[in-house]
Amino acid sequence: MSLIDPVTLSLMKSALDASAMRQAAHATNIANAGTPGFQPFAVTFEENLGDVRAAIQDGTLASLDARDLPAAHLVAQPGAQPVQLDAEVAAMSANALHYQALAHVLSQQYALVSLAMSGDH
Amino acid sequence: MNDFIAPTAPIVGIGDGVASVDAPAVAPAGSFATWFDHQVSELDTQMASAEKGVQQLAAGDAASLHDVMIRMEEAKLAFHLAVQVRSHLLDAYQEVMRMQV
Amino acid sequence: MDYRAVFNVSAAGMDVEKLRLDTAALNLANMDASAAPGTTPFKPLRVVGQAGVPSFHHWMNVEDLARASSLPHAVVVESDAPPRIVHDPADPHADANGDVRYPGVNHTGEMLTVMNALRAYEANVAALGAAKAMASHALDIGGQS
Repeated sequence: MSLIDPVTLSLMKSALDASAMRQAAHATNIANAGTPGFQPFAVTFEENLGDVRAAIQDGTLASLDARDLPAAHLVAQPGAQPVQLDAEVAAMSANALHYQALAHVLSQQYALVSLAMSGDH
Repeated sequence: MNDFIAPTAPIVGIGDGVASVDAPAVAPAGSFATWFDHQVSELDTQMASAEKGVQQLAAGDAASLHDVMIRMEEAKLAFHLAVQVRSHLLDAYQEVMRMQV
Repeated sequence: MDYRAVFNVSAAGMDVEKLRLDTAALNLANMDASAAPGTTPFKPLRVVGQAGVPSFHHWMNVEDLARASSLPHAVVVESDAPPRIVHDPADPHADANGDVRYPGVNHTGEMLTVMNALRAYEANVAALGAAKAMASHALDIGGQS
């Protein structure tokens, strides 16, 4: 049983998955930076969250079905383009921080739940 | 005054006339019992999921670390809740047992 | 493959860039090794990178999975750049025309390769560090209760 709202929890998990995927994409692109004909990878997630964002603004996220939340996707760019090394590294650093923020915040939520359950015991 | 305490049959042995902790008959229409049963089976599922995550990690098949940690944490919280509920029920039972009749 | 696949990619990338660096260093070291007439001068080496994508099978769609096979790797090939000719009849290696043949190493090109390889190597190191930091933080989920 989850005492955190299940939709929020599902969103957090998807965000963590997306971030982990993104790290894999960046690492792969960077490792193949000097390879001719390579198709760089990218991850789509936030772009697919249109309705979710509106629900968050309205405060109605909890009323959505957790199974309807968009998932993250690892996709290869259609054509071969040279890897922009500096852009990849910058985006990767930002992503790493985002992942750590998500993990930390999730941890805090769990700690709150645990605290709520402990009561006076 | 006697509205609150219904007349009971004399107690002849320990355990007679007292509901067991596992299925508190005092709950209206068993809704608490139903809820608790549901929690216990969910707890089972979550602990199985957590255990599978740990096994996959050990075997080198864990897709992501955060997934394993989340499953373990959920199982831990569910278990914690079950323990807390049992503890409170036990306290309530013992308090009832201590009542002078 | 599991969550460690991402470390292996970066490690492979580092290997490729290190190879690039070593090859450029080797070419530069041999730049001024003239060849006696009748022998072949040192042939500069080139590193040809080959794409490698580990199978992140739990994330990839089917088409990408089919292409995912391995880690990035590279092969070293000899370049067929023509020898550099310097006219110096006094040199012990001068031929009948007084020409001395040196390896066809492009100094500027090799220096550029060194710089780019170094930059790319460091980028891979950064990727490895980021992945490690992320994994380390994932371990802290639920650590406070």
